[in-house]
Amino acid sequence: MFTPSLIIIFAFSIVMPFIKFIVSTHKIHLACNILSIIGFSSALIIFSLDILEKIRLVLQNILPSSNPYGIISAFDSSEILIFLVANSLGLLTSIYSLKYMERDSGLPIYYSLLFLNVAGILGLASSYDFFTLFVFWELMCVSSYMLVAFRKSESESIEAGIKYTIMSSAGSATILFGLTLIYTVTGTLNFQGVASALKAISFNPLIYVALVFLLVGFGIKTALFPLHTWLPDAYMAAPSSISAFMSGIVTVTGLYAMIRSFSVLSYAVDIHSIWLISVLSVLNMFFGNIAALLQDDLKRMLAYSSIAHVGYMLIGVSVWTLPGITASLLHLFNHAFIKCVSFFCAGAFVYRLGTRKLAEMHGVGRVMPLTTSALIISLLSSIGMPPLNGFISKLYLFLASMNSGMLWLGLSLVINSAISAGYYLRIIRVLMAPKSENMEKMKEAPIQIVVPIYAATVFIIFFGLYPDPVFSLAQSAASHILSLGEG
Amino acid sequence: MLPVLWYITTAFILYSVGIYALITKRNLIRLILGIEIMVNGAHVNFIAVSSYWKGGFIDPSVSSIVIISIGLAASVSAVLLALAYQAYKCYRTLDIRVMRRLRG
Amino acid sequence: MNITDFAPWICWISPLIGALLTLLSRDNTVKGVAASSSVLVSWISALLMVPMVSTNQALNVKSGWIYLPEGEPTSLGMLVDSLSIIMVNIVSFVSFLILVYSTWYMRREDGQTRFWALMSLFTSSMLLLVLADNFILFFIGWKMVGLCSFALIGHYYRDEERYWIGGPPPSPFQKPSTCALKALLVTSFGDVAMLSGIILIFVYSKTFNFVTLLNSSPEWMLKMAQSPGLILASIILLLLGVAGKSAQFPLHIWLPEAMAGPAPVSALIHAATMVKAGVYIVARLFPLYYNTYWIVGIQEARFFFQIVAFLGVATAFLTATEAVTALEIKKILAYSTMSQIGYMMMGLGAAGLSQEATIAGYSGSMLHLLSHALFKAALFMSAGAVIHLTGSIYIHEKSLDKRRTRLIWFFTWVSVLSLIGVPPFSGFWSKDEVLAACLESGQILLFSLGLLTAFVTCLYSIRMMYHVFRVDAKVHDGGGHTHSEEEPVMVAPIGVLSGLSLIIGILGYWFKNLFKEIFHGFLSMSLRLETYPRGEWVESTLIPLSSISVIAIASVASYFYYVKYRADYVNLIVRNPILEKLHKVFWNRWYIDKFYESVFVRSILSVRSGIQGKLETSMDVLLNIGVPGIFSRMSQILRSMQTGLLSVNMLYVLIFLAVMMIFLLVG
Repeated sequence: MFTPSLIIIFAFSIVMPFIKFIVSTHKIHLACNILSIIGFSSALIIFSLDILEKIRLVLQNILPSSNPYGIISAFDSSEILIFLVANSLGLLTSIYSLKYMERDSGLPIYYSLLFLNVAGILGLASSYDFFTLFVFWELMCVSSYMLVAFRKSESESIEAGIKYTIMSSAGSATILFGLTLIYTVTGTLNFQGVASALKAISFNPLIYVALVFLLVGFGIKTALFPLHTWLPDAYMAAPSSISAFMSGIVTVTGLYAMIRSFSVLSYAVDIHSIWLISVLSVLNMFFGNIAALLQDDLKRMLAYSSIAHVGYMLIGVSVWTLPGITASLLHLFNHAFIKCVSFFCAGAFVYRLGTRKLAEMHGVGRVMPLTTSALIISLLSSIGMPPLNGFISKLYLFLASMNSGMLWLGLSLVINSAISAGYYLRIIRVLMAPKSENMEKMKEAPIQIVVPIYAATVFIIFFGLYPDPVFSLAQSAASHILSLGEG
Repeated sequence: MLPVLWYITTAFILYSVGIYALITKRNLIRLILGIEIMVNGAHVNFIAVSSYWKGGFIDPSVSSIVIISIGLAASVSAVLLALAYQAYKCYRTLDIRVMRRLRG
Repeated sequence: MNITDFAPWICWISPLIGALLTLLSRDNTVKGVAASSSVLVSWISALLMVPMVSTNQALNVKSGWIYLPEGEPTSLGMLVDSLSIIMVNIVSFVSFLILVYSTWYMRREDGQTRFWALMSLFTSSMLLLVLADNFILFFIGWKMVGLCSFALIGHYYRDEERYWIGGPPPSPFQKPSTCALKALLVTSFGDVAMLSGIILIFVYSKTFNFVTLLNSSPEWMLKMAQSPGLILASIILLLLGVAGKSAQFPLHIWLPEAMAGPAPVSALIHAATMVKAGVYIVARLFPLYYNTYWIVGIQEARFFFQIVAFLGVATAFLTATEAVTALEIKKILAYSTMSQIGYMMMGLGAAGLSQEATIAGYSGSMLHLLSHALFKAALFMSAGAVIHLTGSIYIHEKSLDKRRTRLIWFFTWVSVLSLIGVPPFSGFWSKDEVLAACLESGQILLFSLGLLTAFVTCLYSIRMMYHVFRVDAKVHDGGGHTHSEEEPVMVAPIGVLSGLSLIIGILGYWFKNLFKEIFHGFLSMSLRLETYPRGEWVESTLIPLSSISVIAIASVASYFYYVKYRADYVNLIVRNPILEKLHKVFWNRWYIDKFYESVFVRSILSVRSGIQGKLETSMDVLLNIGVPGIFSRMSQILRSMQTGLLSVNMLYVLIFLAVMMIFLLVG
């Protein structure tokens, strides 16, 4: 069951801490960084070779069919999307960390944890068994706890780490409890076994209880509205590279796991009829966007905006149709790159200015034009400006909600995009303002920081102009997820 | 032999005790214990139910699941204890209510 | 994979890359070279498509792009058929020459980065517009050319006094930025109308693709015809966009003011390419409505041709008369441009009104488009040279010594003769073809007004030429040196263009029939009529004779009026009350501008204070204080949830768990 790329990731995470016995202290950072770049890129390359044939099929299938939601069955696995996002974000984060983390110590552990985190995500995405899913989930969680609290001398990051760890591990315990309830009802934890057992039995309230437990457990990680409280603290206090990585993939992996397990449970429960999920989606959107309006801390603002984006993705879950899940996964993919760029840029400002406060960033755009323009592109994409990828996925989310007769979800998406413009444009205004005195000696972020930023920005623009590959990827992933447990 | 529902109820109670500890207790160590209790509630349920499914025997795969899960819980506790140690160094206390610099 | 699969893409992407290159390079020469060579690449790829022109096949190179909930997925595709190949060749070739000319014209100007980037971007979007296979891409190109035109008209956005146009003094001056805004507003009005027309069509046809639109037109047009007036509405909306972009009758008012930009801009955008976009889309939609009217038999579709013909002839006549009184050289050319585009519209309209005239009208207006692009671009470039050399925008203030600018003088005459329609220049053949189509379709009014316009055209052309090039003492003070002021970079493009209009004119008969063959093939292909009635291609001598005689009369008249009475013709006007009245009407552009200003500007301004006092202030208070207040209050409340206390957070978890449990188990 372990794919070669997963083995590579594991191998690198195990090897990484031993680097310090080989390389001298002052070169250790560079060595770790190069090793991790090698690790992620080789995993990415091996994975691409693995799916090359499938990609060729997809490219052949890209030509428009008369039915846009026709199932393109080029893939028989749903994990490719998550694989690609996690691997590329890992790669970008490690390139970014070369300069960004240069003042920190203990970097072998940092990269090792990053690898472990990616390994957890990859394993989770390809699991066909609730307990495997849980084990990889814990792997991802534990490594992210330590990454958030990585700067252990800063009280902020320790505090955020403690809150995050306690809430999230309570969530993990809740998931485990939910799994025991599923086991209680079905006697197995295998997706296929659970599905066939659920088909056989009649109504059982315990399965609803299990569903709620899973919702709460995954919801804590996904930052559903009242369970989100750890998120702004953690994203704010973590190193920006980690904020970017977590916001891009770790949080939404919770959503992905939720979709995956709900899909199995949907043999006994009609997910579509749980209108509470749509209420949660709207609450998330409104909460995230309104709470972000008055923030003065750039990273905290972006963290709240992540909460709102989770709300957008939940639209697809609450309609629970193929177009809906497709749109959610598409937004998951696009949001990963958008938030990656945003947090990278915020990190670049922190790196140069030493502050996260918007009030102290007046006129940064005049001295750091490259970083600022990337940030502006990503913010416009989060608002949903047309040629960028945020627009595409929001469009599909809207269409999905309209197709399923839940237009109010789509409308609240539109309203929330407008509200979110309120603070995104405020950021842009601050950045483009005339420069203040403390900006005089500032200069553009170093090339090692600008390169990963632009690598991700290219994705934002490219997939805005040409969303087809991701769309068919998301579509096949969605159709695969919806048929989990069959046959 | 007690009916399986009793075990499930016990597990629920253990879980609730854990949540209760997380909500009311101030000391970080107690919170860690609370999480352990929650996880153990789930473990109890697993073992009890597996004997119910297999008629008096414990499903070996469930045993392995629970053992792995105990390991996972232990690793989480280890992380938490390390964090608690660092928190003590930063705040000179383990009271969770003191650690509220991040808000709003 | 065929080369023609890539050529259309290279064709429009290359100038886009050129635009990026101009932004990156620092040296002005490099910018010019980058922009022109990128357009050269598009011209070469356009030439590669030429062999396709007579195959009577449409090549639709697609790739999936965007899926709409209903209807055909809109693809990112290029449509290569006779029409688009001819347009692409004209656009890329003329753009290339004009960009070469710009390297001379712009060499000492400010804002070169802006200029080159926008010119390349403009060329790219114009090519995209022409090559697009669906309304969405087409409209993107359509809007982009409009925006580039806006920015380039306002090139001298600092509004220095020497760049003002208008006048001379009793008449008001206009600043370049105002002119740019006027162009943007008027064309955007048309664009919005056009977008609504496109959406209206989409609602019924469920597709944006031109090919599918045409193939499925019997079905959706019948559906549309069930609610009477809808087809007419779609026609009017689409044609409003056309009128805005091509400066046709009700929305023609922006083009004279668009002359505030540099001369290459006027040559490229406001003569050779962008204003032809309207003609292009009419020609593109022509088979659609033709099919609907003549084959499906829906009467309402006839309005398309009637309106097009009416707009064309009205514009042709009105603007030609306006040109007679204009004093700025570029404005004369602008009026003349509108008038010539009117001819093209007239030809297309006449082509649809009768089956006999279809081929003649369609190919005639396309031929006129080609020859107009050649001679008008040449004329604008020489106008730019004249303005540059004399330093005056008026024809009556200073003129060029033709001994020192012999080449420009010669090439300008060639182009002007082509504009007038003197045989054997290209304008003669194309104008006659359009007039012949009008006559064949039985539209005597169109024909006679067209002939009258030809008369007026001759008048204003000779007037302009007489004023601009003189040998007598009133030449500009060129500093005493007598050597030629022409530079090869400046003269070569003018020479090439006017030379081409001469060559096409000499090969005119053959060329006319070539165009007829091409468009006969094109129309029978797109209308799916293998045995399309070829019609009697009347080779009557009547039309050439009548137009030549009209031109002869006009040239004699203008010779006496403008050349013989030199200084006196101003007195002639003052003495004759009828001429004076006419002069006043023409000078004031038939009062159409004044009418628009009083209706749309003054009336709105007059109710402004009332609206502001009653409505706007309260709205401002509501929106600027009320809404942000509510949101910031909400934001504070929500943020206060974030207590930072872990116990409270865990309490939220418990509450959430309980609430979900209750709702799910109860519900």
